[in-house]
Parts: sequence; C-alpha cells; structure tokens
Amino acid sequence: MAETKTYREALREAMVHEMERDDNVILMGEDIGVYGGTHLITDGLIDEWGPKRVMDTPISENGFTGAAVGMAMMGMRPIVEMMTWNFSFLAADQIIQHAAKVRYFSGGQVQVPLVIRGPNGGGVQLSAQHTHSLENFYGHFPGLKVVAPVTPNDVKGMMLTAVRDPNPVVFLEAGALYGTKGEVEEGDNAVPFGKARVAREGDDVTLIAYGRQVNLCLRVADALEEEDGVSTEVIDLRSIRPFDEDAIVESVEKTHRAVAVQEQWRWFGVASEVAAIIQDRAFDSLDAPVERVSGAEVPAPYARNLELAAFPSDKQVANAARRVLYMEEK
Amino acid sequence: MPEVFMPKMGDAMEEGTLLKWLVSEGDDISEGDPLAEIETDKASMEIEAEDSGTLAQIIAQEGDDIPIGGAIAFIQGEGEEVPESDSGGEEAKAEEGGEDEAQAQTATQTEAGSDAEGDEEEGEEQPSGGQADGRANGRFRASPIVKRLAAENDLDLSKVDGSGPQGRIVERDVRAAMERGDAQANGQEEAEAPEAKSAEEPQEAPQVGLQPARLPEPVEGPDTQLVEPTRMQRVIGERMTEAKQHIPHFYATAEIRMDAAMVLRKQLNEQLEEEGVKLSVNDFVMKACAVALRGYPNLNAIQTTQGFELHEKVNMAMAVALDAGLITPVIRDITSKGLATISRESKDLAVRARDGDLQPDEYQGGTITVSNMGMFGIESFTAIVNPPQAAIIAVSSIQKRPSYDENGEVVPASMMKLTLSADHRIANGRDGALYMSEVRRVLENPVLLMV
Repeated sequence: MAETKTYREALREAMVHEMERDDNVILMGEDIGVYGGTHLITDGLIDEWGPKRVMDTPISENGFTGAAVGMAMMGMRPIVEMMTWNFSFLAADQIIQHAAKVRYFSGGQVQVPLVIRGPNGGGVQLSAQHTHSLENFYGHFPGLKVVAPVTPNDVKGMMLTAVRDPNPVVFLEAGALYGTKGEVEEGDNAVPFGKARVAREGDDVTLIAYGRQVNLCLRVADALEEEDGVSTEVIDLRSIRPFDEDAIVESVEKTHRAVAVQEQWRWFGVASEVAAIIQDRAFDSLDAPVERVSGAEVPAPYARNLELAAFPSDKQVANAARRVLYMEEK
Repeated sequence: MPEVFMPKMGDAMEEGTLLKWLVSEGDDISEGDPLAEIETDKASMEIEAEDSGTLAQIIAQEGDDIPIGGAIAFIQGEGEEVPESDSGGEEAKAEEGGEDEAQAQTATQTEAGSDAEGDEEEGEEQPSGGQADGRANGRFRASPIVKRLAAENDLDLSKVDGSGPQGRIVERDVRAAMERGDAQANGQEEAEAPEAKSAEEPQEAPQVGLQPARLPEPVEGPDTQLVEPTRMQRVIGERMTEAKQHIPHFYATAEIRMDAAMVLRKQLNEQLEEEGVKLSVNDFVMKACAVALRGYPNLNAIQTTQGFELHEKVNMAMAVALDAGLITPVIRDITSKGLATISRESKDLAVRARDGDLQPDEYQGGTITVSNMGMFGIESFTAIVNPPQAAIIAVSSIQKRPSYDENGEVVPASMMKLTLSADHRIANGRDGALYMSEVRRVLENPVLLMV
C-alpha cells in the first residue's frame, strides 16, 4: 500500500512511527514544539506527545546538541532538529569531537544513537550564511553516518533506519523540497543505508547525484532522451556515508560514461569522490573522463537570478553528458 | 612542400606499404620523377616527386607500412634545411615539445617563403608529417573501454580513426569499426598478441567476438613452406571473412540456354572483326545482368552508414584474377554502353589490372559484381557478396547438353549456369528468383541487349 504524501508529511510520519515504537525516541530543537517548527515538520506533535517527548530548546546549538549526545550515550534516542544545517557549525564540536568519537574512545562500550536532522542546501534565496551543502563536510569524519534522501518515501524509510542505528546519523533533508509529493509506503518501509537507488534506467550515460539534484538529473535525462536520443541512467546515492560504490561501478560498467552532479562547491566535494571511485574501480569501462557539475565558487547569492546561476543548471548537466558522449554541446 | 607524403589513393586506404625505393639519398630529383613504388590493399603504383631538389633523406624504409599523410622522404630545395628526424622519438618529442616543434616550424616557415630565421616562438601546433592526432608511430589515444574492447575482440586500433578530442578513439568509433569489420587484427602480424593473451588467465571472461579455433604451430620442415600473405591477400581475407560472417547470403541459380546468344555473338564478331572488336560471352552476360536489374533496384544497392542506398545507374564491377589476389575494376553506367564499348573497356581494365596499373577510381564505386569462371570449365559455383554491395553473380562455363526440342527430339543445347548471391537484409528470395529469370529471358532473347 502506498499513499501520496509530501516530503514533510513523510518525515513527520517516520518520527511518529518511531516515537510510538520506542519510548526512548524524543524530539529536540528550536521552536519545534509550541511553534510547530520553522518548517512545520513537527507541527502538532507537542499536542499529542507533550513537552517531554517534543522539547523546545534554547537558541544554543552547541548546548542542546551536547545534551542530546549525553542522552544518547545513556540509552535514549534523540532526534535533534537543526533549524537549518548552517547552524550546525555552532554544534560542530559536539557532533565531530564527541558524537562521532565516543564509541571509538570507549572501545565500543558506549554508543551514540543520535539523529541530527534539518534542511540542507539552498535554492530558496536564503543567501550566503544560510546556504550550505554539508554532505562532504560531515561525510569526511569517520564515526558519522550521513544520508541525503530526496523522495518522500526515502525520507520516511531512511528516518526509520536512522533512529534505529546505534550510531550518530547526520540526516540531510532537501529543504527546498519539503512540499514535494510522492508515493510513500505505509507502515515500516525502512530503507537501508549504503544502498543507492536507480532513479531511472538507461544505457548511454550515468548521472550520479543526491538530494534535490536528483530531480534535476531526471529532468535532464528526459530532455536528453527527447532531444538527443540518449538513454540516461540516474543514480540517487541517498547515502553519502556509508557509500554505495557498487551501484555506480555497475552502472558505469554498463554505460561507460558518467557525470557526477552536486549543488555544493566543486573542490573536495562528493562528486570528486564519485569520480575517484569510478576511475579506481571502473577504469577499463570508461569511454570518457568523468565530468563533475557543481555550484559556482562563490558564497551563495541572494538575488534569484544569481542564485540560479550559482547552482547546477539543466543545461550544464545536459552539456556535461553530451561531452562525455562526445556529442556537440547545445 | 619538401616532404614526400604517403598519398591517399582511395577512400578505403588507410596506409600503404613502401615496396621499393627507385631513388637514393643524395639523388637530384626533378618534379615528376618516380620516387618509389608503394602498394595499397588494391594496387601498387609509383609516387612521383611534386618538387625538385635533392633527395636529402629517406624516412620510410622498404617494407614499412606508412599511414596516409605520413612522411616517407624529404626533398631539399635550395636554402632549405632538413628537419631533424623524429621517427621513433614520439615520446621524447612530446616531452621536450618546444625545441623539436620550433625546429619543425622553422622548416615549414622557410619553405613557405617567409624569412623566419630566429623566430622560434611556439605557435600553433604543427602536425609534422602526418603525425597529427597523437597517433604517430603506432601510438594513439584511446579510451579505456576501447582498449579493453580491442583486447577482447582482437582488434587493431591502428586501423580505427578516432573521433574524440586529439583524435582519441572512443567507443562509438570502435563499435562502428567492429560493425564494418575493418578493425580485425591479423594473427600473424601481431606477434605479441597471443603471448599477451596467454599471459593472462587462459579462461577469459565471456568474449564478445567468436574465438578462433586453436591453431597448430608450423611444422617448418624441409617439405613445407611458411607463407606470409601479401597485403592484398590479407585485405581480401578480412573482407571476405567479414562478408561471409555478417552478410546473410542467399543464392539463386538459373540455367540459361545460350545458343541464341552464341549465334548473335558469332554474327556480331564477324561484322565487327575489321574494327578489331571481339565480343566475349562475359560481355553479353554483364550487359544482360545490368539490363535485367531495371526492375530489381534492391539488388543494385550499397550498404551505407544509414541503411542501403539503391542506385539507378549500374556500375558493374568485374572480378579479375591476379597472381597475388584479385581486383574488381568497374565499368560505369554499363546499361548506357553498347556491347562493343563494354568489350573494349573490360579488356582494357583487365589488362591494366593484371599489370597493376589501375587508378583507385577505376576499382571503386561498383554497385554489383560479376565473377566469371567460365574460362576454367567450371560447371557452377557461388560467390561471396562483395561488400558494401548487395549482390554478386557467379558465371560458369557454357556446356553442351542434350535437351528436348518441342517435338520431343533430343537436340544439343549450350547451357550456362549463373548463380546469384545476394544480401538477405536488402533483398528476398523472390527478388532474386525473378531477377535471375529476367537475366535468363534477356540472354535467351539476346536482341533485348540491343535496345
């Protein structure tokens, strides 16, 4: 059974599902209770679950994230909302220095089953300080799991998995897509980490993305099919760490050409990792160097036209695909 | 232009073999002097000097295979310098780039008449001596998947043109070459290939192409002789293997009573004797095969990159046996020509084919082929379609046979078998059968050849 729901509803449904299943699951964050959450993810939950399960916190990311790490170490399963992931810089010490390392330091005696979630990336004119894509930043540190679901079904399924994971999970939501709709499986649809999703099957070129760039890639794939007769495969990584190397290798072994697309800046980004994995494991299948399409190397602009110019466009991705196919750019 | 290049002598030509130098280093050369004999897969011919001067340097040695546009010699005009030889030094050249290139540039600039002494700035890259595209000296760019496909399918990438940047051979190039079948490596040529293969695991993953049967090592006894096929024989072998493997042949044989044609031929030859015309049976057959094509355009067709192209004009290719192979010179628009013209042209082409004197355009562009073994007394045979054509007709000898006349009496008849081989992708059995019966109607009523 599946029902059409928004990304926001699917996310809320997952958290409620886990709160019902396990009393240790609690929600924490700024304005998530009485106000219902800045993005209305937790709207109405405080009425049903009360302030002990849905906790409004002070504006103090380092403090409440640290508290959540401690709660998790003691066996609770907190889900912490970052109003946006940009504010997690203030909590980075707790996330990187503590949450990611306690299990290691304790020789496995203490685990940190913590989920930190919130909107990641840009696209909604929030300007430079409120527009970051942090998947490579958090993906860099051993001890953290990092996921970036794009469909309503995956955001629900991966939240179920995140809550049940005994390790800290950085849960990066596609902030610009909270209102998008999709089919969501009823009940327990837990989606495993480390498994990419083939969002569209194709034979000639593979586009690899995650988060809202997956939707862009799907549009480009349709355009390439229509305008150029090119059969495009789109891989949605979903999980940044652990990373599904096999999925991209298998796809490139079929298509022989790959374009990695990311909203974040080019240098030291996820797309670079994708390119490195492909050349490492699928070198003999390649017909062209792997292309990367990334955001422009500037702080995110506010003005709509400039913001659009700073993020990967359909045209850029389509032309990158044409380049690896040795076709004329358009 | 003081460098002498391997000329392009036909569309299909990719490289030529330098058979023999007719001049030596230091000789004075005048424009038009024959310099060397070269052999392509189709013919051998002489290269003539396009400049006068001193033959300063011989770059290609006898027996070398040189790609089109590759330098084979350098003729030094007055005041010109010989560029430093860079054969075999591709890597050094790539690394030191600047110097060599500047030098080559100086030479080309001087020859262009501009006094560029000392002007050694690096300009645009000069493709020196046809070594553009980074594929000189057997080295070329190819994508990893191309190299893998080449190894798995035993392809010779030097036969594949690259369409990627800097001439990089990319997958579509090698797939197209595999489809055309003109990238197969020759086992004998690539002494390394089998070694490299056996070095890997003998049980390779699933292979795309057909695996050749295991071949024995040569005996090399006193009563055996190991033969290296000529370039022409290699090409014939490759083309015919490709044709036989990839073209779905079907065959249709017609037995034709040739008495009327023989009578007409005798009459015509008597009348035309003074003009030195002697029509052969084959002249009649070729004309009849062409005339009969009128209603069957898909037997007069060429396979192209975008499907079969039907031709209205019949360019009749005729197979001519050579000591070292065969060649198929073409009688153009044969239906518009009379028997005497056809006879004259076919004799001339055959003689010059045997002398190796054909120009490339004389053996290219055929739309259908006739192969005649009648002179050897063959009763019947089938031919392999000559790609990219769609059909070939095998002509056998005229044999006296007893036959019945309308009164049931046994009478002698001159019978000849013609066998059509055609490409089933473009024509079907019915086309072939109807066409062959039309050929029979024309030959049995030979006045139809006159209209």
